[in-house]
This record gives sequence, C-alpha cells and structure tokens, in this order.
Amino acid sequence: MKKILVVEDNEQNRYLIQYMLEKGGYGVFLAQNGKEGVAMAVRERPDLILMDIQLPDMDGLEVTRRIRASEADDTIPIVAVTSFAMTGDREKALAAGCNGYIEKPINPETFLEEIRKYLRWRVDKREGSQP
Amino acid sequence: MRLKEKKPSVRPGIRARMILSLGGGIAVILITFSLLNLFGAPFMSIQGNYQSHRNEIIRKIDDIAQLKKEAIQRLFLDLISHTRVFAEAVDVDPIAERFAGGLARSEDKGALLAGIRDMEGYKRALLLARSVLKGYGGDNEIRIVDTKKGMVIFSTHEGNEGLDLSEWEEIKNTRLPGVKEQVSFRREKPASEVSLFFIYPIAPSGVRGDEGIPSLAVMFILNSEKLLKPVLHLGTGHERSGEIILVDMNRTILAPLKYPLPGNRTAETLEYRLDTKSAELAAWGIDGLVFSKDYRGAAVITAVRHVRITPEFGIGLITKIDEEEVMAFARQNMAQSLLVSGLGIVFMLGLVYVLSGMITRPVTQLRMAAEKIMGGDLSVRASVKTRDEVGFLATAFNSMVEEIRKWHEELETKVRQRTAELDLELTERKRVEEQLRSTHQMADDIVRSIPSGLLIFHYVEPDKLFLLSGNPEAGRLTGFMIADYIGKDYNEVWPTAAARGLTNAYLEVMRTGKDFETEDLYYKDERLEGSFRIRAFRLPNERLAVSFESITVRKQAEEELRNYRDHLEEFVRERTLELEEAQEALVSIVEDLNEKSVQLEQAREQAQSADRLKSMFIASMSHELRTPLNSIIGFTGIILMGMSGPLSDVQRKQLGMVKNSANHLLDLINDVIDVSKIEAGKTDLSIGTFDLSDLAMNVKESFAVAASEKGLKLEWRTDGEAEVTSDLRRVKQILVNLLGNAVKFTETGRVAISVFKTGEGVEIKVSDTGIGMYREDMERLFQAFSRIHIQGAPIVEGTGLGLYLSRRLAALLGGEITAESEPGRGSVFTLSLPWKYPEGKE
Repeated sequence: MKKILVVEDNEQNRYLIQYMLEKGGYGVFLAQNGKEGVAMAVRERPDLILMDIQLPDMDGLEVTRRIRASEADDTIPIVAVTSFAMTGDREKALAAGCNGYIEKPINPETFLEEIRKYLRWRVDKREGSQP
Repeated sequence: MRLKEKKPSVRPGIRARMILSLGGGIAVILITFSLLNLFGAPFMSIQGNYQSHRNEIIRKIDDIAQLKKEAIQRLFLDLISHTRVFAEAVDVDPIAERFAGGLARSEDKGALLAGIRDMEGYKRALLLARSVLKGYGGDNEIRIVDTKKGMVIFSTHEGNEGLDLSEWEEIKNTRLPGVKEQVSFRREKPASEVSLFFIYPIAPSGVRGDEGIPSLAVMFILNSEKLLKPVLHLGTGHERSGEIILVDMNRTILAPLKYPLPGNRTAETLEYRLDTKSAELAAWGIDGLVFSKDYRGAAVITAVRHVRITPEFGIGLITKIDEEEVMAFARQNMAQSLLVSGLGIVFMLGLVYVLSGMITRPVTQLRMAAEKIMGGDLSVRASVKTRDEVGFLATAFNSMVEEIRKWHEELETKVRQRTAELDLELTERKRVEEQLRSTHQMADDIVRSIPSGLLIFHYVEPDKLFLLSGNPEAGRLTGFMIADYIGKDYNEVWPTAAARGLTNAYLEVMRTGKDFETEDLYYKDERLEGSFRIRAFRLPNERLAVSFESITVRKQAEEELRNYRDHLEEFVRERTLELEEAQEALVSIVEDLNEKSVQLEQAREQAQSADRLKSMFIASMSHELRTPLNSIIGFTGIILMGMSGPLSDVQRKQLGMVKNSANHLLDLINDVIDVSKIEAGKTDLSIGTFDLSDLAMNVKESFAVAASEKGLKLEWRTDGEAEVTSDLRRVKQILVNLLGNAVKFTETGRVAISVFKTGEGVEIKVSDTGIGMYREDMERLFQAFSRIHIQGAPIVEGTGLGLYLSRRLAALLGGEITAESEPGRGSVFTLSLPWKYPEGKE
C-alpha cells in the first residue's frame, strides 16, 4: 500500500483529503503544521507528500525546502496544494523543490487521477526516466 | 662873511703899525703857530668822534642783520604753515585718482586736464588755494604735482596744469624717503623773474603708491623779489651805500645786486656766484662781522648771518655798508671846520698885515686862548676888551671858536640821538615779537585745553564755510576725526545743519559780526545725534569760530528722571500685565502645539493602521474565506459523486444547488480580492510568452459543455499563430469572463471567439447573437457592481465585477476592452493587447 503524507492545517480539508485518499486505497499520514510535516517525512518515508502552502508556523515552501535538506528520500514527490488566485505560487513552489501543483478547491472527480499521476512519476524517476 | 662886513668900522692904531713894522719876523712865527693850532685842534677832535661813530655803525649793521634773519625766518615759517594748511585741507585724492586713471587709459592729455578742471573737488581746491594766496597778493601760485610722473595736475594759474617738471631735482627728491619740505629759487622760463618754490610732499590716502612714499607734492610759488623786497630794504638812514645780499648755500645770488659787477657785467641772480669772503662765511653757515672788500672791490663793513629754513636749505644774509660812507660823514664835519678855520686865518693875516705893530698883550692872550683850545677846551674865550684891532681879533677869534664848538656839539647830539632811536626801535621790536610769540602759544594752549568743542572755519563769500581746524574736544563730541573733514564745506560735514537754521546763523555772524548763541539745539543726522549749546563768533581774516558743548546726557537724564517719577507705578503695572499676558500666550501656544502634534500623530497612525488593515483584509480573504469554501465544495463534490453512499434524486438536485452557490461565492470572493489588489496597486503579474490563438481555443473548449447544454453554436477563428508577451493567467481570466458573459446572455444562435493580428498587437473579438444592450446601458457596463437588467431577459447570476475587473486587467497589461451592441441583435467585446507587455507601466 502506497503511503501518502498530507500536511494541512485545516481540519475539514485534512479530513476531505484523507477520506478521498483512503477511498482510493492509500495509507494516509496527517501532519497539522510544518514542523510535524518535516518530522513525519523523515520518519514514515511516504511515497508522496501533499503540501498545503499556507500553514500557521511556516509556509509550505519552507517545509518543502527543509524536507529536501533532511535525511528524507530526495525522490519523494511533493505536490503543492493551493488556491487558484495566488499568482506565481506555481513557480515559487517548483523553485522550492515541489514536483507538482493541485489547485484548491479540490475537484473530487479528477483528484485521484492526479495522485496516481504523481505516484507514477516517482516510479518513472526511479527507473531513470522523466514523466 | 659877517667878519668882513665889520671890516670898514676898523680904525687902525699907530701903535699897531709900529709893532708891525718892528716885528715882522715875530709876526711870521706867530702866524705859523696860530695856523698849526687852528688846524690841529678840530682835526684831532673829529678823528676821535669818527672812531666812535664807526663803532656805532658796526653795531647797528650787526643788529640789522639779526633782525633781517628773524624776518626771513618768520617769512618762511608763515609760508610753511600756509602750505601745510592747504596741503591738509585740500582733498586731493579725487583729482589724483582721476589723473592716474586717465594716464592709465592713455586719455588725451588736454581732454584729461580739462576734465579734471571741471571736477567739483578741483573747484573746491581752487577756492581754498586762492584764499590761502590772498595774504601774499600778486600773481603767486599754488600747484599740486604728481611726483611720479613729474606732472602738474593742479594749479591756480589755468594753463599750468600738465607742465612737465620731471627733470627737477626737487621733484625727484620728494620721492626719497624722509625728505620733507624743500625750497628752491628758480627762473622757470629764461625770461621770467626769479621765483621761490616751496615744495611740500603729501601722500594721498587712496593713491598710496610705493610703500607709502608720497606721490604728490604741493608747490607754493612766490615772486622772490617781491617777497624779499621788504627784507632787502635796509631801513637804517644810511641807505646810500648800504646793501643786503641774499645767497644760497652755493653762494648763488638770490636777489638782484645794487651795484653792477666789475667789467660792466650785469649780475644776474641765479647765474652768478658771489666770490667774497662774506659770501663764503654765509654759505658755510657762520654768523659774524667781516671787514673786507665787496664784489666791487670797495672796503665795506659786513654783518653775516646764516638763516636755516629746512634741514637741507639755508639762506646766507649779507648786510654791508661802505667804509667810505662812514668816513664821509666825519670828513664832511672836518671840511666845515676847516673852512671856518681857513676864513679866520685869512682874516687874521689881513689884520697882521694891517696891524702888524699891534702884537702885544692881546696877541699873547689870543695865543694863550688858542693854546687852550688846542688842548681840546672849546669853552675858552679870548678876554681882549679893547676896541682896537686886537680887540676885534679877539672877538672874531671868540666867535670862530664858538662856531667850532657848535658844530662839534651838533655832531655829538646827532650821534647820540640816532643811537637812542635805534636802541628804542630794537627794544620795542623785540618786546612786540616776544609778546606775539607768547600770545600765539597761549592761544594754542587755551584752544587745546578748553572743555568745549571748538571749530574754526574759513568763510568764502557768499555762503561757503570751509573747516580749517578743530580742537580735540570737538572730535570727541562729534565722534569724527576732525582731520578727515578739514577743507570740507560746513554743510557737507553737518548735512542737516542747514535745515536746522545753523548754517544761516553762522553766515549771519560772518556778515554782521554779531555773535550767535543758542542754549539748546537738537541736532541729528546719520552719524550724530544730540543736544548742544553753541556759540559762534567772527574772527579776523574771514574766520569763524564755533564753540559747542553737548548737553545730551544732562537732558536725557532729566527727561528720564521725570518720566521715571511720573510713570513708575503705571510702568510696573503695565510690565506685570505684559508679562502675565506673554506667559499665558506662551502656555496656550505650547498647548496648541502639543495638541496639534498629538492629532498629527493620531492621523498618521490611523492612516497607517487603515493601510495595514486593508492589506490584512486582503490576505485574510484569500485564505480564511476560501478555506471553508474549499471544503464545502470538496465535500459536496464527493457526496454528489456517490463516494459516501447512494443519493436520492431530490438530494442530488439540492446538493447540486449547494455546490453552485458555493462556486459562485468563491468566484465572488476571488473577484473582490482581485479588484482590491488592483486598486491597491498590488497586483502581481507573471509575464511570459505564449500563443494567444492557442489560449483562445483552450478557453473556447472550456465552455463547450455549457454551450452545448444551451444548444449554442461555439466558434473559434484565427488568422494564424499570435505569440505575445503578457500574463497568461490574466489574459485567460479576461477571456473566460467575456466568453462566460456571451454564453450566459445568449439563448439562441452562436458565440464566437476570433483572434486577429493588427499593426500594434492582437485583437480578440468575442461576439454573440444575444440580447444586446442600449447605448445608455453600455455606459454603466464597465462600472463595478453594475448589473444591467434587460427587459424580458432572465436574471442571470454573476458577481457584477467581471467586466470591471477585465477592463482594469486589460489596462494593466497595456491593452483595452471596447464593446459594441444593439438590443436584440447581440454584442461584440474586443480585447486589444500589445505584442509585448509594456515594462514599467502600472
């Protein structure tokens, strides 16, 4: 079972994402803030991280940079989850070390398909090819 | 003659004839004796008188020389003081500056000198010079010489300006350090008379040339003959041969000689050097008496004096009288005596001849008387009383002796008289001079020491008063340097005096001779202010004396004391009140300032907090409002998908409405955030290059479902690839809005999006066959929150911000949105974008 770490401060959103991912058959780990996120990324060795950008202690970009700088596997795909209105967030997220981008509000009809896409990308990368 | 007239009354006696015939030889001896006696006695007496007379003359000549020496010294002292007065009073600076300036600019000399003559200062100097010359009379002259150029720049004789004196030794000498006054006698032109040149160097204050060496000199020129004439006049009563000669230190004659020189040479002054012992002594500066020969070779008695005038210059004074004249006086007396004697002898010989025989006792008596007379006793008389020849002879003899005695007495009286006169003259003269000297000194001392200011002016008719001098107190009272104003007109020094009637009062004093006095005159001008007690009175020689004292301090003190006494209480009250008011005013000002500063601080803080609040609001909106909406939309989505279990149709329909409303709310929030960001100027643009026709097709595709649900035909047209540099997301936002509106407001027909390239950029037209708009409605179209209600059309939901936001975004990207519409026929919205986003624009 693939393990997915969700870093999200809002309880409802955390539950929504957890619900959808568990329905999709993934093992879900939840972190409520950046600090927890970094610790769990190192401890649980997830296959994918969904990173909320607006967090109470530090923003998702900073968390991403710390994860990338930690002992965690540097091949873990990290996907930023943020609002449509934030112009330039996509570029900033990629620059901070994220591999992709999912807009809020999350569309349940396409969400699991996107998760599968990023998990596949990790497999491809391990095999030495680009998505 | 008288004796001859008595001759006919003589009656010769027989006894006398007998004596004559008997003793002819004795008679011859007697006659011889008588002759010797008669000649010898008066001669010896006259010889003695001559010596004492000569001594008198010598003494007199010496005294005269001394007097003349003093006279010459006085003359030059006067000359020097007059020159100094002129030099100090005349304001020569403007003339000298004008002259120097003119030469520097190489102005024409004639024009330059004419220009200088026209200067006001020149005319003032002329007036002053003429008033100084007044005492000398005649055609005397004052000049001012520029000693550097050797040129005359001022003269009382018009036409002498510009004379070149650069070759004069005296002019050159003035430029040597330490040289002061100089005297020279010169004949300026060969034919002219000899003039005395008194040269007095002055340094002008402005044109101070080489280390303060004077560059100007005042030249006082006097006709030497006229000047010295009073001195040359001997005035002794012995002018026949007496002469005074003046020589300079080279023994050059300064004034014409009385006698022609030997060899028919005319003694021209200044060309002839006197070659006598006395001249030599005078030149060497030795005073004394000389008995020698003069230039004619005549024996003379000479008194020599050396008159020192300046340290470098002196005059030799030679006073002389011919020995011949002194002797002639004595000889004349002797000749008269001899004449009388001779007549007596002739008469006696006749008597002897006629009365040869009468030589007895009377004759002896006569002889004895004659012997006594020979001894010098002129009071002896022959005591023959007989009425014969001898008696007559005795009478005649006696009268002859009487005559001699009278002559002798007369001579002595004359000498005594003259000597006494001379003594008196000398004593009186010395006394007057001494008195004059001490009076001068006393006057000077008094003027210096009096505690009042004293000013002396020189009056020039009709209304000029030039300042000549002032005592130290005058300077102290006025605060001026009196020396700075010497030679200036009264009205120039005290500019407001005329207005106060002072000038007229002074002029009145000069005209009438009546003193002027005022106890309290208030005077004020730019430099001087005060109250004065003034007295003015006329002096001889057109002089005005003004004495004054300051009473300002006394008056002020009185005034202040009075004021102080009268107003002390009121003053204290006023001051207290003033102080209180001032303090209150100060306090209120400080309070006011504090209040204002607090207000200002508050306003600033309010403005800052409002700004912060706005930024915080925008940030909150973007996160806090959207986060719950996101979860509403998300949960609604998964329930609708059936992920949480099956739904009834009613549940599905109602949950669909929740989802739509949530989506609409999210759109509204996003639009509000965009609008506030644009209005705050905080929109972040992300500029990149993309194909606009490609983007237009993507947007069209996203509306495909919505259009087909309404049964609308959706079209896309392009004239080829249209690559632009702009913000892709913002352009997309605009196109979504335009196309969304078109789909929303069109019920039947078609909606088209077409992309065309123009010269400046790209045009994207979104056209529909919808309800269209009226012109007046279109004006409100792009306003915020303006929802246009169109008759008969369904009310469609929207934020009311779409078009407003689109137009602002288009402008932000350097483009614009225009609209054309016709009710019932549809609308066309055109977005124009430049090829390249204009960097630096809002």
